[in-house]
Amino acid sequence: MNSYLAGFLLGLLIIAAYYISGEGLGSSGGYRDCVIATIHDVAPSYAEKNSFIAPRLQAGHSPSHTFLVYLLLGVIFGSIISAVLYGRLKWSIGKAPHITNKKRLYLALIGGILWGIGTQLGRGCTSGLVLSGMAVNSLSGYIGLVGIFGAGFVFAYIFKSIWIKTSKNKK
Amino acid sequence: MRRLDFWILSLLFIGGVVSIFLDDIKPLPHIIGQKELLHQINLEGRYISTDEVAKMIMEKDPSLLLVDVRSPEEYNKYTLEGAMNIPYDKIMDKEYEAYLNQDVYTTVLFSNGSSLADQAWLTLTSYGYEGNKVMKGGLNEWYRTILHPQKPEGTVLDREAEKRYLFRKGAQIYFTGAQITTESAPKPKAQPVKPVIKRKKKEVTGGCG
Amino acid sequence: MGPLFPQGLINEEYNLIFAFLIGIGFGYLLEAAGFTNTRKLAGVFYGYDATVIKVFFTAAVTALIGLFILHNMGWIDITLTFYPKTFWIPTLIGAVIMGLGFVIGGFCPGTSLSAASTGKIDALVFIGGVILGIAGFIFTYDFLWKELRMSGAMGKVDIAQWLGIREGLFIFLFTMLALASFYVFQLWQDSWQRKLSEEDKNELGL
Repeated sequence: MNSYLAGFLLGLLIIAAYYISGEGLGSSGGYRDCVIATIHDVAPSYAEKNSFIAPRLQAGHSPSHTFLVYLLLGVIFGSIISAVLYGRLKWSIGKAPHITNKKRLYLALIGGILWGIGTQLGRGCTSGLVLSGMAVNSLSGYIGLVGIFGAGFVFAYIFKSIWIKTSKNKK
Repeated sequence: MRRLDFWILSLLFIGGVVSIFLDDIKPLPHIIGQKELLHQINLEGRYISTDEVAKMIMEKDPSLLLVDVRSPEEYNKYTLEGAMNIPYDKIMDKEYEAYLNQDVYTTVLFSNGSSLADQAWLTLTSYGYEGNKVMKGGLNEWYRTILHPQKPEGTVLDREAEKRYLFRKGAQIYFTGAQITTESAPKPKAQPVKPVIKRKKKEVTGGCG
Repeated sequence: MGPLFPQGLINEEYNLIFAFLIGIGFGYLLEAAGFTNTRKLAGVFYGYDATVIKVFFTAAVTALIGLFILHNMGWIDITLTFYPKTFWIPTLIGAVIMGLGFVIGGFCPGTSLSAASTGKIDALVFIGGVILGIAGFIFTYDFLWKELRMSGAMGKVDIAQWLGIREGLFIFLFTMLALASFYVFQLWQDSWQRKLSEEDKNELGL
């Protein structure tokens, strides 16, 4: 799909989300809520003592029954629909051709862990913190923007060999 | 550049230009506020007595923020010590929002009686501004209780009333520099000091992603 | 007048259903824009694929202008919507960590879910990593992260106010910045056209 069109529709979606629920789109929040719900189910007494989880527990209301979790459920279905329409639904590993699959999976794991920590510290991810934050003119959204993309460019230079064939890793 | 790209980018450009001419964001009066508003009106918690205000002033309580909602002329003639002036018709101005919509200070609104301050409180609360109180009875009550406290009547020993009277006598001395013996006091000079609030501190809780 | 849910104009069940529907749209757009492809996502940092910047900034500007105009027309009260409080220290540090995670992992949590749903195994591993990271954070929160996460509290700060300019003006400037960046990144992407092989171009959809 045309990038600008996709972006434009995404923007309209954010407006709709704010209009209906008063919340922006967010991804990391859904993960967090699921993790908290699981911890709460498995070890409720620990959950109540942990000062991160405790404020989010409400009596009679499962911590996973939030806007963000249902949003993520929708994302799963929406992605599948689009992939089917574009003929992209298949098992694969997405990577640059000059690194091994195993390496890619390790990198993915490390990257995921970093995001897990980063989103909780930064209170969001690119969609929740930055995109939705910028949509309401929040300073935190811009800090996130500068942080993620600024650091991204710097780290990209350092880790160039992962994505780009250089003379050193030409096979 | 393809047609679709052009249209979308132009739309964004026009939107950006249009935005220059639009107003800054101010809270809009919201419908649901009504129920909550009625609830808050009924709560006596929004009133603070002249005694309490006098106490906070004398103790130099740093969390007190006095707001005189009358006109500048009346404010300049006489006001409470340390009070700032935000005339009623300007209470929704953006520059005062930091004072009126925060939970760092205890904001006490006052006027001559109660009605103007009450009106101000009503307006602010219906817009979702929190943390504001009204000094019950206003400056009239202040005059009656603090500047010219009445000796408790009757012969029955009412300890509360006695204590209150003594407190008010002390307050009277503080605010008017009156001698212990005299009853009438010269009009005190107003020393309004505008508090400087750098940032409004909201309570810190977790956010969401 | 919006927002509906915070004012009790719709109840929670409907709110969650809408969340699901909006999620479908979100997932659809992510996949359609090609964000399930990690090479595409990482491409913005190297210049060979400008898709990320185009989608991201277009979405941000559209939502920004749209909400601002709607608020000025009285159709939505933005002050009632979720407004993040600014904690600049942990946000900045967290963002830097996320930037590193982006370059190494090639995903962000939203796109990884989208990718995993369409069969990308590395995305599944990525999601596993995110869950581990979050769990690890929670378990060590009380003694490692708590103070850091609450530091730098600034309350709800609006960037236009923080800069001292009118909001409308800020929006205009940001829109211009976005448009300029589209131009720059498009040029950068074009300069790669010669260097990319045919198969690369097909995979990236350029």
